[in-house]
Amino acid sequence: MALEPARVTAVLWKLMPLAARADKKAAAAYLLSALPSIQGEQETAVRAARRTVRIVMANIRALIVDDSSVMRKIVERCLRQAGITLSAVFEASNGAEGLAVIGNNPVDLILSDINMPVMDGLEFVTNLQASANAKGVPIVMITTEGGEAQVTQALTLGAKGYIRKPFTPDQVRQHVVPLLRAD
Amino acid sequence: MNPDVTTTVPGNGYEQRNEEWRRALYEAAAEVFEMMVGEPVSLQEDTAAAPGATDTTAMVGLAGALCGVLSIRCTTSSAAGIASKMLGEPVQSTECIEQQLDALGEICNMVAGNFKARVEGLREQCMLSVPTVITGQDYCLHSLADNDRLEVALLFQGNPIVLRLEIHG
Repeated sequence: MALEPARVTAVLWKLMPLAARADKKAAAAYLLSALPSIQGEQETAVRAARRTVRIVMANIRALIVDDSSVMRKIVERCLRQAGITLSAVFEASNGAEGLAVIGNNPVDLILSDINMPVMDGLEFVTNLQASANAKGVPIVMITTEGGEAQVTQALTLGAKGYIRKPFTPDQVRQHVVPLLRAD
Repeated sequence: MNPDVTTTVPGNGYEQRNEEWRRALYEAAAEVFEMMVGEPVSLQEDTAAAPGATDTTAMVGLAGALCGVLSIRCTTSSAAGIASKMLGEPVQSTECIEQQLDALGEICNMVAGNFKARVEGLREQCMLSVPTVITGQDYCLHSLADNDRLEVALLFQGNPIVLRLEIHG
């Protein structure tokens, strides 16, 4: 629940004449009486927002595609450190394996490296368009390649974001959590 | 910036470039170790004093505006230390050799990517290969070209790690 703009306007509307009359005592008394109510509404809104974030970050099924098993484990750890509750983690060591996994398993989030043998991340993202299980699923590229061209290409193909290696858990949180909220 | 890296830059543009690239290599490696391994590396003052007993070598090829090979050499023990720190769990036994090699290859890959991002003109114009890792000491790396070579010696947990950039063109 968000704080109603009408509620804020009503408080200001009542406050303005008092301020205009320079009736500081009355203005202060009114503010003191109105503030707890506003604060209460704010706290309710914050609690509701937190609850919503918890819901969208719960029971996430993630697919992590990277040719390095160490990197896959690090990415998974970063997701958990970001407060995302993972109900299932699927791993693939290249795009072809990733497509096979997603063909049999619906997921809520895909994180993929770009530079991989057999099928790279860009080809993987291109082929995901034909997968029913990938429809509407946010894709985040995790790449060593710093080139704008590859990043732009990945975004054009449907990726929602990218994280450059090396990265911190906080950077993973910043890039991934808003995508889960948006859904 | 470690003062050891910023040595006097000679007037020769070629040497100046090498000095800048050596510095970029050090900074790239320092950042990768800081962020992904969670433990800093320090610069070893005397490159020539770096022991030759390293037995694990990770390599990444570079192509495009810069053609060459970036390699990282260290001991098996250091590779195990790096993997353990990255995964947050012990990866010391011989059964975990795959994870140790994987970790070193990924470190090499990230250092190469970070290095090219720091050098003007390389970020967009240079591509990286997937990493290759070699174990053992009894090998020689031959190149057909007359290479230029940059080397940066580091210490990780007191043990040597050598970064080498072979420049083919």
